[in-house]
Amino acid sequence: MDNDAEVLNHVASAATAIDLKYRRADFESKLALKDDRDKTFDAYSKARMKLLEEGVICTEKDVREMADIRAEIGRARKTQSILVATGRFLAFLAKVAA
Amino acid sequence: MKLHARSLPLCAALVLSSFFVSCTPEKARALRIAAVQFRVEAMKAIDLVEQLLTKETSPRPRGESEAAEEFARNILQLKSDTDLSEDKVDLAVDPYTVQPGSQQKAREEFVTNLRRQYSAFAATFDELEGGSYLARDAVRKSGSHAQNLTLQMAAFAESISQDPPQFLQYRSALMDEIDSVRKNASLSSEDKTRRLIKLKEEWEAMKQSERELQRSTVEQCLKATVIGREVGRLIDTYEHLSVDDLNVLTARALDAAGELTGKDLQGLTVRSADVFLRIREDPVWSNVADSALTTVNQELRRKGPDTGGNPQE
Repeated sequence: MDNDAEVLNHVASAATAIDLKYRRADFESKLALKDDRDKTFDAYSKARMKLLEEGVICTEKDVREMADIRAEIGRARKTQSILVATGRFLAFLAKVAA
Repeated sequence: MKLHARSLPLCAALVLSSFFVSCTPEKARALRIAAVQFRVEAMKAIDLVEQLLTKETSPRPRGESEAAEEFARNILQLKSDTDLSEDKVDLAVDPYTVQPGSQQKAREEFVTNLRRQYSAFAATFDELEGGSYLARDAVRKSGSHAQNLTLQMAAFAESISQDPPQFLQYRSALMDEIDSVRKNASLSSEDKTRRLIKLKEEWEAMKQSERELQRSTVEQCLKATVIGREVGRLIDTYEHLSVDDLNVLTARALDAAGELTGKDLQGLTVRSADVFLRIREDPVWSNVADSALTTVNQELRRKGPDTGGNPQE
């Protein structure tokens, strides 16, 4: 098991322990425990996110590059439509000249 | 001379049209549709990842009467000299929902960014049919993005198959109830047994829900991976394959993705572990094998306490 997975399981145990304590406490004690309990759940979510984020390799720069490629394809479409129209016009001329 | 003048426009038209034959609108359409399919499958996978992240810390649902009784009990437990505030009443009504912390914002950003990435990729090809030939260079440039986005889905599948979801609050709520029954001296042995049998059923149902969420998330991430791989292949071969070849490749990807539906977790786990190996062996992906693929692979397979540290470093 790698470090981050160990952290996840460790925080899961801590969250379960504090949540059990919280559930068994009276309401006055719950008021006192709530922040720590919620922070432990937050720490668990953080550990889970870290495991998932290790697989993320696409960056903001990549998203900008995709937008640039999209724009490039848009320009290609415009140019190509002009060329196709030109080709059709030339074909028309050829037909007329024949 | 007259003949030459007449032939010139015709020759020009033939040359222009022959340019466009190699990358026809049909081929462009096949690629655009495959990219849209990749986005659809990836979005479903991201929805499941988000569901997993949310459910792990969500409270076990309570019935109305149970919640009302608990509210009354909570308020009555307050000391007479305690000042009542809106916050305290809110907490008495719902003591279990975790207050939004830093991770909720991080989670929302995480899934929003992922959705944006896969949408941006699919949108890249929106106008490809009209620029099927002249956009060849642009299509080639999109290949690395298809590969990175595919590897991400493979990495999520691997991560979730290795570290299954845990419905933490659901678990602790049931453990607390089981313990309460066990220690309740006022209950008869028969009552304890009856209640414990019911709690056992609920415990097993909860564990089954965890496994099903794990299975469906891994399955969906792998489906997106399969489609993404074929999109990468379509991009790589865009200039060389026929329309029929492209359609066969697209259909093959959809079939392969469909074959994953309903597979058990063990089968999916094997498939998940295998996917990086297959990508590494695929010549189309060789240009990323030593960069992004290696990075992801190392992170996922990092073992032992002496290899820890921030993966970003």
